[in-house]
Amino acid sequence: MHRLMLAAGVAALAIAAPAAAKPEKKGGGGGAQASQVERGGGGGAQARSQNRGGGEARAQARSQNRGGERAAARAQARGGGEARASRDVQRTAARAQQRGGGEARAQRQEMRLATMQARGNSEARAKGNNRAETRARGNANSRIAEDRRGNNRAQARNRGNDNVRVVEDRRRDDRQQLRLRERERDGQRAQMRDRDRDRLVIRDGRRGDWNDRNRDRDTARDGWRGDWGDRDRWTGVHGLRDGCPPGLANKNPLCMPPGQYRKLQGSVLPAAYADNVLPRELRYLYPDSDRYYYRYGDGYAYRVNRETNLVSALLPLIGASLGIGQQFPYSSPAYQVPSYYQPFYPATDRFEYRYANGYIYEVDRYTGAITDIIPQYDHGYGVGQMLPASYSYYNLPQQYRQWYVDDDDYYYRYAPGSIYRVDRQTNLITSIVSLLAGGLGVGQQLPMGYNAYNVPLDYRDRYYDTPDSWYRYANGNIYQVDPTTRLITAIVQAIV
Amino acid sequence: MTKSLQWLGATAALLLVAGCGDRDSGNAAGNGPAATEAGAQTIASGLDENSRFLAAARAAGMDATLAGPGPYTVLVPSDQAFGNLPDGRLETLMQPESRAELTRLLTYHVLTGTVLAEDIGRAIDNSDGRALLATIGGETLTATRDGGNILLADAAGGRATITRADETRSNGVVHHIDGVLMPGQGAAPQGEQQQ
Repeated sequence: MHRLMLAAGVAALAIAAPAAAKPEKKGGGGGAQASQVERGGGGGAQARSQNRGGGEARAQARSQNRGGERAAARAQARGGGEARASRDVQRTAARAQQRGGGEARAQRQEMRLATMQARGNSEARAKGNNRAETRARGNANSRIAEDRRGNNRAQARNRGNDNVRVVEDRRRDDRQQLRLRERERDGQRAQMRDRDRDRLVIRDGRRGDWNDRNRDRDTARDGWRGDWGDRDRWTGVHGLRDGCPPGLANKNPLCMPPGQYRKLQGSVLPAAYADNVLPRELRYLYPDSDRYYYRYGDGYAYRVNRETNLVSALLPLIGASLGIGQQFPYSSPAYQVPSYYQPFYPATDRFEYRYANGYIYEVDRYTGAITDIIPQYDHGYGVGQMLPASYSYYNLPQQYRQWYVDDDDYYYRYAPGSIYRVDRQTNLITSIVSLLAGGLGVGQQLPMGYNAYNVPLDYRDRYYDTPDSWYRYANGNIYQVDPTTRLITAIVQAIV
Repeated sequence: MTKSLQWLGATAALLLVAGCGDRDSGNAAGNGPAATEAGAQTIASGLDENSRFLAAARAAGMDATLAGPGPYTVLVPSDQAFGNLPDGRLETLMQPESRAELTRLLTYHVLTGTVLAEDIGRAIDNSDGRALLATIGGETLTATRDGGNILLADAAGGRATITRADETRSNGVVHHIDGVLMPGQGAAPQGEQQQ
C-alpha cells in the first residue's frame, strides 16, 4: 500500500511537472487548487485540464504518457521497484475510474499520496495539477493508463481527441523496455489476435482480474480499426528472452524460434520433452516401434531412436514450422496466395499475404516478418496438429454448441471450415468433428456449386424448390435463395 | 477419455450387429432393408470396416466427422478405385507427413447437405448438361449425364461414375463411385516441408 502511494506521488510529480510550467496552472498555489479540484466543480485548473483538443491536451497526453516513462526512469535511479509501482498506480487509478464512482477513490488516493510526499512548492503544485489531470474527464486518461497496462499503443487513442495519437512510437525503446519488464514480472504472455473475431485476446499469466482482461479486449477492439501502426503491436514479441512466438501453445519450455528446432535433429532429445508422450488417440499416427519412439514439444513431434536416444526426425505440428515473428523465407512469387483465397486476403499497404504448405501467412511489408498465420483447413490443419494458442476460447458457431461442449479431456474449437476436438493436455487436434462449408450468409450470393438441391431429408417436405425460391443447406442452416439473383435472402431454419 | 471409449464401444457393437448389403467383402448376412434405412447408422458406421476409404478417413481423423451430425453427402470410392492409384500413392498419403494432403483429398469427396442422385440429375438438366457441385472445401466437381449414369469430373481431369447411389444414413447419404477424385494442385510449392 505504501509503495503504491509513494509511487503514485512519483507519478504525480512526473505528470504535473511540465504542466506546472504553464502559468495558468499555477493558479492559487497548491492548496487552493486542491480545494477547487476537490469540489469537483469546474474549477479553472480543472476545466483547463480537461481534454479539449489543442495544445494542452497534447501536452497532457504527452506528459501523461511520458510521465510513466520519466517516472520509470527516475524511479530507476531510486530503485526499480518504483517503476513498477508507478504503473501499478496508474492501473489502479484507471481501474478505479473505470468502476464508476471510482473518481472519488482516485481522488482520495491521490490526496493521500500527495500528502505523504509533501516536498515543497513544486510538489504542492504538482499535487493540485495531478489531481486535476487524474480526474480529467476525457478518455485519454483511462485509455492511456490502459495503454501502459495493456501494452498497446492503440488503446491510447482518445475518441474525442486525436492528439493523443501524437504520443506514438517515439520513445519506443523506453516503452519496449518497460514492456519487457512488465511482461517478466507479470508472467504476461504476448498478445495474440484472433483473426476471425478481429479482436485482441490478451493471454495473461495473471489470473486475477477478469474485469481488467475483458476491458482490455474491448478497448483494444475499439482501437483496432484505427490507423495506428500495427507493427508496434508486435514490438518485443519476436525473439524475446521469454518471447515464444504466440503461434505455439502453452507448453514450450525450450522456446526457440521455430526454425531453430531443426538443429535438434541428430542430437539428444531435450530433457524437457522426455515425458511428453503423445495422446492416446494420436498414437496411431506416430506409433512407437522397436526402433523408435515419439515425443512432442514446441510444435514438433520428435522421432527418437531407442538405442541412441538421438532425434532422427522432426515432424512439424503447426504452420510447417514457421512462426509469428519469423521472417517469411520465400520471396519468390510462387508463394502468392491462390486465386480462390485472394478475395479474403487482399493486400494492404501494411500487409501482404503469402501462401505455403496450406497456411496463409500475413507478412508485414516493412519488416518481412510474419504477423499472423491463417490455416486453410483443407490443407493445413488436421489431426495431430497443434492448435494455435490464439484459439483459446470456445468459439463454435451457435448452432453447433449443443453438440460439442468442452469437458475435462477435450475442448472444441472452430477454425474456418472445421470444428476440431482438441486434447486438453497437449493442445493437439485429435479429430475433426464437423466440416463446414464457407461463403454462405444472408445477403451474399450463393456460391458456385450449389445448383443441386441439398436440403436434408427430414426437411424436404417443408422446404422445396419453387420458381420463386430455392432452399439450400449449409452449416446447420437452411437458407432461402432467390433463384433469379442467386442471393441468399434468409435463414429459414436452423438445424443440426 | 470415457466418451471416446464409449463411442468406440458403440461403433464396435454396431459394426458387429449391422450386416449391410453394400459390403464388398460379402461376408455378412444382412438385414438388408434395415441397413439402407436412415436412422440406425451414421455414415461412418455404415462404411465397410475393411474399406480403404474408412482407413483413410481414420488416418485423417475424419471418421469422427462422418459420425457427427452432418449432414454430409459422401462419395465413396471403391477399394478397386484406390487400387488404381499410382503405386504407393495411397501409402504415402497415409503417412503423418501427408495428413494435410489426405484431408484435402477426402474433403474433396464430401458435399454439403444431402444431395440425392435425382437432385444432381435435376441440376444437370437445369444447367444445360453440366452442373457444378461444391465440395465442403469450396472446390468443385462437374457432374454430367453419361447414359443412365451420373459422371463426375474432378479438377485434375479424372472421372468417376456413380455406381450405387442414395444410401441414406442418419447423418446424410452415401454414393459409391468407381474412381478416386483428385483435387486441383493448389499454388503451394513443397519447399520447406522436408525435414
